Amino acid sequence: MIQLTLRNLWGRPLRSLLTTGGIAVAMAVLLSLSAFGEGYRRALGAELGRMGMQMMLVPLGCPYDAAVRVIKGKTLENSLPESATDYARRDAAVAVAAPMLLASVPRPEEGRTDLWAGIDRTALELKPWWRAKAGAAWFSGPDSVILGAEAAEAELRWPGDLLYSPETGRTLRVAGVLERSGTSDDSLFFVPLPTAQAMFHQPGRLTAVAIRLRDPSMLHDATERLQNAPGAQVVVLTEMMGTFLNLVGAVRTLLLAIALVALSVSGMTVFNTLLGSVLEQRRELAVMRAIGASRGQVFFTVGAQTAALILVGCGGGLLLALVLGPVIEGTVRHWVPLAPSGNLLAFTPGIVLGSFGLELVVGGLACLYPAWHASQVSPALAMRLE
Amino acid sequence: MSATSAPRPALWIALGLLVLSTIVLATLRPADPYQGLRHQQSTPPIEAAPMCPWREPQTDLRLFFPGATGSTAETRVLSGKRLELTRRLGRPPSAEENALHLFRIRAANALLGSLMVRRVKGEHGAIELVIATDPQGAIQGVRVQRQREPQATAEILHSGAWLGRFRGLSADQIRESEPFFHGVPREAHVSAAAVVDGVHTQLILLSVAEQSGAPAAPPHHH
Repeated sequence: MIQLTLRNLWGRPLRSLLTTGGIAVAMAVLLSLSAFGEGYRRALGAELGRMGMQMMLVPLGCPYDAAVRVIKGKTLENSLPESATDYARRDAAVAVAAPMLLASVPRPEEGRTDLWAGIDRTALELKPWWRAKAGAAWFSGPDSVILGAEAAEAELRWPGDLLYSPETGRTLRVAGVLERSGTSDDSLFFVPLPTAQAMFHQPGRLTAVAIRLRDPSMLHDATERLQNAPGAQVVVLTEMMGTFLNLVGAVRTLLLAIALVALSVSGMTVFNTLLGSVLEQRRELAVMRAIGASRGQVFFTVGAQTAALILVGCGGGLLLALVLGPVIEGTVRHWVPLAPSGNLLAFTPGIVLGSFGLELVVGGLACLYPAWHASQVSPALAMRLE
Repeated sequence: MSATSAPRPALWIALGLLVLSTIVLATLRPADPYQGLRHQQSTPPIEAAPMCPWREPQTDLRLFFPGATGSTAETRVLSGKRLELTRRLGRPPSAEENALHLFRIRAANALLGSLMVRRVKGEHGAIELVIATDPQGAIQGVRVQRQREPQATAEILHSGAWLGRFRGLSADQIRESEPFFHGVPREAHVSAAAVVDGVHTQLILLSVAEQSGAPAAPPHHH
């Protein structure tokens, strides 16, 4: 029976190849998009986890826009009064409240932007990765700067060197260079908070206050209290993550719909291939029936052909997804707002098995009619066709 | 319907649908729900550090090679020339100096010259240089494409008069920075010296690559 199945497939190599190719493409699309969804969720979670905080006080306006801009080290048009920090620190549930002022200085003629971050010592409690690769891990004075790893490489700076900010006219001395963290902080120029406020003419103003609670279970009550901070609003990072996953989910649903179209097409291809194969093999099937094969055995023969096509196609699809995955990731990354750093494709066993299963179900449905049609071939047909 | 010919039209239709869906998948862009947000935050991307980019090819081609019709990126491997490089540079070459990245500038089939970019350490930040040479390796022109120096130094680095001092010089003719300091304010000396050293080093790398026939990676056309 297996031999007959394989012979039928080999009998029409081009048709079999095209059918498995269709299955492989559908499988690759389905796998890549599913892996992207999982990878995005993981990467976003990891990035927020590295922030070491549960919530942020940001200026009034769109809270999610503000929060994402702060996480990505981008400046805000609005600012907070510095008193928001004291307000947060007075709350019993707050363990750490770290004020920060972010400023970006676009240099369009050079195709880059200088990103400055004014921080105070409390920021270190939220940045466990903060370690100096060279020099000191903290500012030596108001005119000192600490550089993220990439910023130091781009500017060829080392501890003791000078760094000039042409836009603000300020000369700073490099106190230290940080180890690479894999976050957007790698591109930042860190300066003491009062220095940043002076450089960017924002005395007494902040971009955000990052907050870590003593106990995460206090989140709900603390959020309600901190909403009353003057000129500020609270963004809870888990809510933000959920919101972004929902937004990305909408895009992903559209992409999955396309994957389902591909899957349907592959199902129709399987259906067409099998039906053609059954029609071509009517005589052989009739002979099988005449020499004693049951309807079930004939049905199984067609089912085995389907399984062989699906398994080969799925294997090809997995290979295709692994090869084309990085390309798809690079393309999809452009559609995603403020995509987290790190790998956005996570090919987990669950995703691979789930996609295999779905393809098998589609293939199984596609083979029902051809298999039934094959099982209905009458043994007498063998005589007539003879 | 005959047993062998019946399924073929259906197969071709299915194949067509498959190809169509693949094309749709490859080209379709879903509506971007973040367009507004993206517009607000549209700032130039941050560069990756190690390799110095050639930021304004069109500007530089117009400036140094007005008749240019195209350029070819080329990489010359110099790791086999360490001894010669050490002798000519007066120090061992750095890791980045084991390869020379350059652009061959052409007008139709004629070679007009070469163009190189290099990042050097200025007093107050990195300085990026664009160095254009003629086919013999003499300087056609130098431009500072990026710097973060105080105004007095920046004015010198961008001044045509100062950059013009490099014109026509070859690697062997730039031996020291001193002649380049005439009329240059003292506070600009460190960065000016970095530029001179950077240009000199780059010319030596080019000279060694040209003389030795250092192996080239496959060229990339622009």
